[in-house]
Amino acid sequence: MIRYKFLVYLLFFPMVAFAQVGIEHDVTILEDARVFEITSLSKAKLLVKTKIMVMNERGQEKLGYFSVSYDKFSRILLFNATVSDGLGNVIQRKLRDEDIKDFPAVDGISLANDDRVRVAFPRASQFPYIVECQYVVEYDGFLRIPAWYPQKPGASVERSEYTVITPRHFNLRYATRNLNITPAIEHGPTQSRYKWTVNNLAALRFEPMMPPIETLLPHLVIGADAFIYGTVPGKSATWSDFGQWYAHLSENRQNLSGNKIAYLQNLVRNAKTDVEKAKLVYDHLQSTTRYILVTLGLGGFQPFDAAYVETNQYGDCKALTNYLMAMLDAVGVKAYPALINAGEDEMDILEEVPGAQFNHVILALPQPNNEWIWLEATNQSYNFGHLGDFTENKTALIITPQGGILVKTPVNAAHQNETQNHIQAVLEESGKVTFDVVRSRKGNSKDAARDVYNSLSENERKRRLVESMDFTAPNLISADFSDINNRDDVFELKYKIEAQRYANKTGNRLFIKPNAFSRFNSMPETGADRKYIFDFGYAETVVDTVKITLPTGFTVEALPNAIKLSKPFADFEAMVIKKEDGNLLYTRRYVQKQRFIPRELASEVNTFYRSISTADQMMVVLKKL
Amino acid sequence: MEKNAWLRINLISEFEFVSFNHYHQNFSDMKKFLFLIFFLPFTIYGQDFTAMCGKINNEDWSVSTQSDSLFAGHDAVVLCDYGAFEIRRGKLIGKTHYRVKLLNESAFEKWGTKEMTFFDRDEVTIHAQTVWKDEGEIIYTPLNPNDIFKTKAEDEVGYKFTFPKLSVGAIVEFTLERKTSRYNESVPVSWNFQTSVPVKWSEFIWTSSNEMGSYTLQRGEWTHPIYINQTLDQNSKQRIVKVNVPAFQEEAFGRPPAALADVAEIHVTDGFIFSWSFINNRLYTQTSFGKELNKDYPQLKAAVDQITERDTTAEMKLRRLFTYVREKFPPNLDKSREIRRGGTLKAFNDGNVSATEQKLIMVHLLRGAGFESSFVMTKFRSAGAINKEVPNMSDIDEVLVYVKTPQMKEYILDPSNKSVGFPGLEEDQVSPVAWLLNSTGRWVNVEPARSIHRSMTNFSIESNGTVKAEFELLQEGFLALESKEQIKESLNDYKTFLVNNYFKFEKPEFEDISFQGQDSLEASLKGSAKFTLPSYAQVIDDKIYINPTVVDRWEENPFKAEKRVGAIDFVFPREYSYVTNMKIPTGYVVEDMPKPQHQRFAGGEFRRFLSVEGDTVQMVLRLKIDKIIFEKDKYPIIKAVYDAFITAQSDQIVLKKG
Repeated sequence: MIRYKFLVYLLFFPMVAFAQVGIEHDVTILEDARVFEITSLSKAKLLVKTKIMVMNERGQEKLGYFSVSYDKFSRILLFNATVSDGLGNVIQRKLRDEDIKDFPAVDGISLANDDRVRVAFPRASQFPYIVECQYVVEYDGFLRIPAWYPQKPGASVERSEYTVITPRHFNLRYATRNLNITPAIEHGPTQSRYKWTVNNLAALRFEPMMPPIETLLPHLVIGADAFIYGTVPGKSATWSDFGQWYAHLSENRQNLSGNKIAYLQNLVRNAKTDVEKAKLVYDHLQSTTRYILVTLGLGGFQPFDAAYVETNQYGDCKALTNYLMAMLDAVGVKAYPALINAGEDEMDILEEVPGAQFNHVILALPQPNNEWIWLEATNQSYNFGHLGDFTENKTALIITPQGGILVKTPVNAAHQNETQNHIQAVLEESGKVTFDVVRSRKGNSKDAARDVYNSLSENERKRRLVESMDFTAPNLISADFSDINNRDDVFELKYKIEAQRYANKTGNRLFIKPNAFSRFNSMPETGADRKYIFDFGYAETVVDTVKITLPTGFTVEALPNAIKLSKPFADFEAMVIKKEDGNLLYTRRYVQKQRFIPRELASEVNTFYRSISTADQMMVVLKKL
Repeated sequence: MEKNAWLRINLISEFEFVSFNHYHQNFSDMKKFLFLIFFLPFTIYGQDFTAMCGKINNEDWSVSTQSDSLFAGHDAVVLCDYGAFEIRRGKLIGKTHYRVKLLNESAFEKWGTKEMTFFDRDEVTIHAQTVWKDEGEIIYTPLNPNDIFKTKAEDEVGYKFTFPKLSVGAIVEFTLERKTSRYNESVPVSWNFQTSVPVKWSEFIWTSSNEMGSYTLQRGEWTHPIYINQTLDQNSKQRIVKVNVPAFQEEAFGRPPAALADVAEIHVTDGFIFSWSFINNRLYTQTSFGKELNKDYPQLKAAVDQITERDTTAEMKLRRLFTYVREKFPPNLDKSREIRRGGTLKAFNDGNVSATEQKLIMVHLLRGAGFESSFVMTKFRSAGAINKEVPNMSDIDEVLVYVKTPQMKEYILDPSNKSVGFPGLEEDQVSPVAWLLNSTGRWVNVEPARSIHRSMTNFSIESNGTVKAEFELLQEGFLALESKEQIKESLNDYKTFLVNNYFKFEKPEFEDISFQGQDSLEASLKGSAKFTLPSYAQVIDDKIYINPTVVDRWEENPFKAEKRVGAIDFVFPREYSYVTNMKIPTGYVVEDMPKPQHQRFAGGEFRRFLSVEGDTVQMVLRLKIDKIIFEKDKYPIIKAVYDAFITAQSDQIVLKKG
């Protein structure tokens, strides 16, 4: 499920576009100077001059172009580039018309989007080469002052600076992340000037299990007390102010037909509490709508009317959330939109700077004791109140009638993201094994599986399931995906699968790995000089129980030793026992207690997960009597 | 759904434009002919929801994943796919209609939103609706025209909409009528009878006009029976219907979709169907590049002597000249189709050449060295196969350089590609057939060289089961190229490369890793590593159980499916060879080990050999695939051989104290 987004960055402020690359030194930003000059709330200009050295093909492909986006509230006044060789000899003094493309900002996600983008890809045939580009964009107002990302993935930085010029009376707020600098401030008679500078940043390096690179980039956010977005003025001196502006944008957009209201009231007629009513309405929303992104006009923030969603049964996060809110209101349940900068690879907002730092909206139902129930309107398979790793552990701005208030969303603990595998395995003398599997997933563990399977046809699901097997020549006999349409907290998948040579037969022995479904093999080694914390995505628990029926005439020659490990960040235990009936019982329990592990524990982390990996490969040796 | 309307084919090679731009200049009386070479995306639709596919009937409503084995497991079924096309008064007119039943929510994403692009001056009419049944009542929700979003870019207009009120069991219908005067950029008209879901009814109608002639070309290695093949209106109209066409499926080592796809293609001509020899003669004698090929440049002979003065064999000279041209004359992509006045010699002297000029230089230098050389016309592998039976320039999308040494060894070269070593071809350029352009012209079939993967592993086992090993790797050809790419992607981190590719389950501790040749286009890739696998072998009581394939183990057979639809296409011949020497720990003897195996089959061989020499067990595994394409009836053999190979790599040896 794609749940994008306001696309605020693209909508309002052009940046040289940088995509994630191999996180090495593919490009050097020799000099980058950008100035955002505010004449008034309805007049501002961004002047950018940037000089980069492209070191290799990867840098050329990923960072060697520049693109500037604009919309009907802005225009590009200058757009040019010069190309020089590595020694600075000019090869191309200016862009030719054919070098420049100007087209709609089709993002592959939106149904409609009225932004445009101008792109150029100046290049030379020999590496390294230097591109110096300049552009100027003029705005008829701005929602926020452009954020500053002096470094891009894959790039080192020699010098980068950002200047914001404001009228003298302007009040600025700013905050940084992964960047410890303060601005040089000059107050003149009519203007104030704030300037941030960084020098000599090494390219970020890749490490296994590192957090998303986007969250590690140096970053400056700036806000003003007031703004004009399109033609709509707003205030952002406080979160309450900004919340009021958003509430204003959504006013009178909760219109439902009389039929719909009657239907909803009938739907909840037997519900005794607001929560019961909300569950029924949420289920109705999930059953009848789908997510489609539309970003038109003020659509970056302003939701479509609920009537539009009622007619067409689709909408983006704003529209669906607004529609859900309208439907709940129709049955007497109050709920509020909650803005979030969602996504695992997105930084949480910086609370010091009220304003537009969000890319998503969900719905919040107030509960006693300042508790909230969170509803994700864009997902058709979430259970009621479930957030998932897209929006958990984030700072949400809830738009109450009194204005915006910041509330932290909860995060699931390991036991809430549990996977249980109950397996009956029948081993034959030929080495063939037939597995009867019941896999139950909860919480975030469930989301990933359900989202993937939901996007596939029955045949594709089966193919995906077979491809996920860690053993040779699996043959799927049956699979029951019927639970996929439930919206319970547990997603249960039952299947029967066989493998002709799962156990290896050598002479009169059979070698069988009792762990067929939960092998840990995803974590490459990491050095003691690790720079970043480990990121496991989310805390989780995985429990396996495998009963293995042996072929007649075989007995156990050797069993692997039981293992039990415990660390502050994770626990692991596994053992195989021979039961009284001669068959085997394998049990395994792995608990990843926390999402992040400090980098200082790299050595312990290596040893711990290596031990798990080795234990997961251990075999039982059977011998024919 | 676009795949199911007019097939999108795009010219990949700029070179073809060269040929036909010249063709155009030289044969203006045959302009109509030239339509064959241009391709642009084109999709046409009609308006009335019953005119083309009739009414939705009870049989349509009863279609479900359970209703027929053809539909089982699919999330949608194309109930009807209709397209009628004609050229009238200088315009290409198309009416299409598709009707799709959605059987699963996953179909919403694939079928719920429609996006297409047309030329800005095209006349386009779009209608769409969602139809569903609610307690026996049929409810229609038409698409609001205001909900069709348009975007303009240069001379094209993009249209995008999403169907309203989708639900499982609903039927979506879409019609479009389009008239375009830019029909020369929109032919050949292709109709794809097959798509990613089953098709109940697919109907294609072509009305030829007296403005120009046409012929139908059936394409695809996976074609399906024609249900109706009619000519109407005094033979001016051709109607082809196919029913119950299964969903297209991709297969491991499968032929490219473009080669398999079941397509009818209408080629517009002025009534004259020509031969490959005719094409050859025209191109060779009357185009600018043909004339350049025809010329003799003795002046280049002196340059050849100088460039190859240290080379003693024909093979050395060939490689030297190839590298020389590739490095000295990198083509300027901005002028890829140009041939300057003064021809090849001037290009050679001036430098800054076009792609065409670079290849001409290559040809003339090779001739100067005494080789037979010319251009070959071929087709990217991913674009499907050339139909030799129907001469048709639209089947050609690439021009390369052919050379034959005095020792009669043949090569096809691409000096313009700086990312691949000699002969400069990427996998997609390895085509089973190519047309040699010279005074007579002929088909040539030049297979790529065998790719090689060889490894040797020597290891010992410690008392706790820890393995200490030394590993050496040698790769050549496309297999080396693939590894070089992976090393590059891992930013020359050899450890990451090895862990990702050679240790799927084990977690090795490396002491020493080195690689050679990874930065060279020509050299073999050589690597070596010393590593430890802690607790790899299971030591229990007086026995050690160990799989001697401690590294580079295949875990998955790519041939998983029980049945096969298309041929197996290995692209290039290959050989895998693994030698393992396991030192038996002191005090232990071999109690049990796997038996030797040998399977020979037409086009390849698998062999396993084991021996004990003193304190060492040696295992040799070898898999050779000599043929490139195996027909589908050979699939069980190939699948079984791969199974045997993988099983051999997981076999255990039992050592016992004694």
